Amino acid sequence: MARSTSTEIAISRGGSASYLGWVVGAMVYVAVLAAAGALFAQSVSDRWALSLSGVITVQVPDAERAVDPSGAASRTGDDKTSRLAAALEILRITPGIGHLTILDRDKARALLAPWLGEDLVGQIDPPVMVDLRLMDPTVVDIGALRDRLSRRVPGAVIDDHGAWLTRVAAVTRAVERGGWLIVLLVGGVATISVIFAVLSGLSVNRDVVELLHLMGARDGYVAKRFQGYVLMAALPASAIAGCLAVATIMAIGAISQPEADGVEAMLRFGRFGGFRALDWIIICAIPLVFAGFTLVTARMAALVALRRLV
Amino acid sequence: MVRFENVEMRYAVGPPILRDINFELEPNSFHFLTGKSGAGKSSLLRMIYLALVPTLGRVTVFDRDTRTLSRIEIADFRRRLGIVFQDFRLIDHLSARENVALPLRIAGTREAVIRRHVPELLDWVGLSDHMDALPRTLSGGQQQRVAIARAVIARPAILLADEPTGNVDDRIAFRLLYLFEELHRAGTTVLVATHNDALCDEFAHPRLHISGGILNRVNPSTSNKPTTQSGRVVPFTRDQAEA
Repeated sequence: MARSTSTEIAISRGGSASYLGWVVGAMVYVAVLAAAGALFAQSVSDRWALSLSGVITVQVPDAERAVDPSGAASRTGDDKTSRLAAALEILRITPGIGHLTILDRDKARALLAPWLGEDLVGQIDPPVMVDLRLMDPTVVDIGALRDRLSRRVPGAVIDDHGAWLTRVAAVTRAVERGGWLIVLLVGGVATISVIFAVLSGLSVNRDVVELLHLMGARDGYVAKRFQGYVLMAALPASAIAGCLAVATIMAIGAISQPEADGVEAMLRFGRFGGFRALDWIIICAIPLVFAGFTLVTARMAALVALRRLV
Repeated sequence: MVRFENVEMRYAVGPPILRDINFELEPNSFHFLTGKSGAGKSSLLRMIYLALVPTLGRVTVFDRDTRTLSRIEIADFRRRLGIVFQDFRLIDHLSARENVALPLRIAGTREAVIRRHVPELLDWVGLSDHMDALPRTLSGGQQQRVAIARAVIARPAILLADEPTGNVDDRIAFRLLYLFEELHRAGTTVLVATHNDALCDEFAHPRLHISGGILNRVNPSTSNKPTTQSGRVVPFTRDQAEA
């Protein structure tokens, strides 16, 4: 009597039901990868936005030159203040601006050297750059600051990274939405395959189902047999596909971090490479959600079909 | 238990297969249902086990008009019926034991009870050596006994048997009928469809005979063995007069 009670209906006997495990497994694999892509895009754009929105950069060309040496100092007399000092003065009195970091010419040259070569770098005159950390980005009126700065130090440029940040955000958002759309589509296909499996199982086993009804089985009893079958097919398939998908994500992570190798790269990617703890929870939940969803779908499909069967 | 009032049954087009059927099965009665094959015996049984709704008239089972039953009520009613199908309808991938256990499983009986009752009953029908056999490995008579064990395991109030002796020789047929007699004595209402006249003569219960779509009651002749305890057919209208 060790036989399980769910064997009255041999659902996998013929019909498309026997392929259900494979179908659900493939769907889960695709869904997990798509979700990982979406989450990755989201976290990347979040982190860039976070690290860049609080920072603006001011470029001051010809920093050592005096402000307006030509005598336009009609107002202030002969102003010998350097352009850099003038710019810094304006920045310091602007409310909302916190720490200033001056990137002087030598440092700028050192940064450019690998790209342009020592010779070329020696010939150019890069602007002095001032990185400003904004204490509160909402308080600082960048437009007004830009006006004041260009009046006193013509040629100074404020780069608030807004323009390209917007573009990057648009791209990552598209990737994110695309990823979730794939998850939805794949979920829909999985649902349809479960429905087909249940319907074909019902029609193949029509005589047994009718017999169960004649012996007093309610629809719920018969539906439970189908749920049991679908769960037995979907749960292991989802689990295996989920593990394979996570392994794939790790492998991609390892490839994307060539400086570290093997396991270390995978772990580093897992921890820092774009996924937060919540992301991992979502990724791991997807196979379970799929399995649960197929279960509910199987029950609903069986109940509806049985009601039609009379 | 079961009452037919002016029941007519017809399938799609064509003449009615049963016309103006009136009878009642009293509690703890035993009837044979006779008639040529195709006379409508199976249709009549199907109306009792709620698989068919009459075209006209009313079928009452357990004091309820079968037309008014909900899906769930139909399922619950059927648990109080035991059915022996003409073709047994055993599930071929389940052992004899599992086939017999099915009605108890459906009724939600505890596994411990199932484990005790099923072997008892299989022993009673003489299949204690074949409990784990698959139906296809059993002879026709053995399969029949599995089907009967399955029909009675849940102690039904009404036992319906459709040609239960159709595939076995007379010796086994008689043994099966004695089995039904025993259930009958234990309080079950029994209706056995058969075209085996020898059986009807031997057991001398009232017969409901279908011929030309009409049902007549034939009481056992007094010359036969007395079976006085069996229930009676209550004729509502002209059945008796026409008989």
